Amino acid sequence: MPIGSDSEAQTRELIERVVARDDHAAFADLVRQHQSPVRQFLRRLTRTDPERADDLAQETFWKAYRHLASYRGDGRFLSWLFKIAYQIFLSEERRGKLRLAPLPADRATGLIEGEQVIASRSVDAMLGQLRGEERAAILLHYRHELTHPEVATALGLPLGTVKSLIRRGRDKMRTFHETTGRARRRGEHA
Amino acid sequence: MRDDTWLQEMLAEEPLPDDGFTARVATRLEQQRIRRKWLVVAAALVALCILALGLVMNPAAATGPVPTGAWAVALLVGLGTSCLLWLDTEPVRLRLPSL
Repeated sequence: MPIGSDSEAQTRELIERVVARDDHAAFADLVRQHQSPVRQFLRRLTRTDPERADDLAQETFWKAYRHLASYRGDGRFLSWLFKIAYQIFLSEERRGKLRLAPLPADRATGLIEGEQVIASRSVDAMLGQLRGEERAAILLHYRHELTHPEVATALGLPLGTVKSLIRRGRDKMRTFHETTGRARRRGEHA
Repeated sequence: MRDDTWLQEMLAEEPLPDDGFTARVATRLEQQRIRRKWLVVAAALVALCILALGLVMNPAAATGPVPTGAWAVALLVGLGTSCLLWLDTEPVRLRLPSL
C-alpha cells in the first residue's frame, strides 16, 4: 500500500535527525517502519532461505545508513531502499552467492498442507519462471505498488524497458498459473 | 485495459513481524561505531609513538629538569588513558571490535 503524505513527512523528519545528529533511535524507527516491505521484496526476489534474505535486508539498511545524506527526497524513501536492495541482489547474484531454497514437489499431487503455505509456494514457483529483472519489476509494481517510473528508477532501467519487463513477466506468470491450474484440476478428477 | 487484480491478489501477503530484525541492525551500527573509534585510537597511539620516538632521539626538544623519556611516557599514558575512557563512556561497554 502506498505510504501517505503524513507518513512520508514523518519519514523525512526521521531522516533529518539521523543526518544532522546521527540519531540512532531515529534510524531504528526508520528501519522498523520499512523492514517488512524490504524483507518481503528480497525474500521473493532472491528465492533463497529467509535468513539469507534477511542478511541482505540488513545489508540494505546498513548501506542506507551510510548514504542517507545522499537521499534527496525526490521520491519515496521506500523506493530508494528498494533501489539499494536491488543493487545488493545483483551483486550477490553476480558473485554466485545466492543459493535457491528448494521448492516442494509438484503441488498437483495434493499434499496436505495449510492453504497459505501452498499459495506461497505457488507464488514462488511462478516467480521462479521469471528472470531476475522481470521478477523485480513484477514485485515492485504489483506487490509494492510502485509506479512504472518509480520501478524504472529503482532498477536503473529505461521506462520502456521496465514496461516490457512487466508485460513479459505478467504473461509468463499468467501462462504458468493457467497451466498449473489445469494440471491440478486433472489431478483432482483422476 | 487488462485486469491484473489476480496478480496483485496472488502476490499480496501479511506484513512481516519485526522479530528482532531492527535490533540486529542497531547492534551492527553500534559495532561499526566502536570499530571506527578503535581505528582512531590506534592512529592516535601510532602518532604518539612517533612523537615519543622523536623526543627520545632529540633530547633537546624537551627542556627542563624532567628527563626526555619521562615526557614521552607521560604523553603515552595520559592520552592513551583518555582514549580508553572515551571508548568506555559509550552505552555499549568497551570490547574488542569483532573481526
